[in-house]
Amino acid sequence: MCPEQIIELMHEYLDDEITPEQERELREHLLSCKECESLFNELKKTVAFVKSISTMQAPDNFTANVLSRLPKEKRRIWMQR
Amino acid sequence: MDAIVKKRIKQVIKGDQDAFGEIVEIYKNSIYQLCFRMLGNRHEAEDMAQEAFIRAYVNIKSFNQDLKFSTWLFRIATNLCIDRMRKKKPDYYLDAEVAGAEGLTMYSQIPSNTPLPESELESLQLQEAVQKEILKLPDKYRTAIVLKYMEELSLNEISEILDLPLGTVKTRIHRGREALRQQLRYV
Repeated sequence: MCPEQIIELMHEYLDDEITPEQERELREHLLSCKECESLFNELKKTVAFVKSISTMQAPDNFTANVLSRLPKEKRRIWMQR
Repeated sequence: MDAIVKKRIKQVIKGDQDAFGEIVEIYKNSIYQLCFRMLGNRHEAEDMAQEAFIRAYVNIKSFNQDLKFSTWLFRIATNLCIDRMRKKKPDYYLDAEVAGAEGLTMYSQIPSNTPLPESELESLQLQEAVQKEILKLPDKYRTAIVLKYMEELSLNEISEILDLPLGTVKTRIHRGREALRQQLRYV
């Protein structure tokens, strides 16, 4: 089992919230612990996978469809609810 | 961009619907993506994304113009998706045991010519595999992960959108990331 505190440092690293001192501690540990090293690599791979699917486009006519559904006059909508 | 959005909001408040169209153009891709990643269905995602913009329009006067519009818009969309996810939850539990059929799950009731989940997963492209795993995350982790990695928002923005303390947001992202790691390690 990898030390909880080192795993915490991995997450701080992935959140860009790690201090230089903490990063040194993490790097040193990774050099001596294969288990933590592979866990860290898996976490980084996971992030890369998730980021890799992050470009989607709204369907055609999306804006026109929204505009066609807007209430013509606000008061009417309020009365309906 | 913020300056343009502020100007358009003022025009919308005066009743200019075309100005609102420009706001929709700016945010449509991110709002649609947010809804799709949360709900996993294109039709539903389009419906929810449209609904988010319509609610933003109807409530635009209650938007505090000193704040960031995108944060407000993301909050509306996120809340709509969370509500929808809660409502459709029963559909999700394919692994759940069927009453009166001990040991049998919904999987065993799918006709046998349907590919097994394992072989299906192999043939899926990475994109679909990742999306599938995101959809398996519990609501609160999924929301945090989608906002962080799909929308590339800062932890502070996510905490504003979800109206949660920063520490809670961090914990959810950590847990979500760990769950995804376990699910995706052999992909």
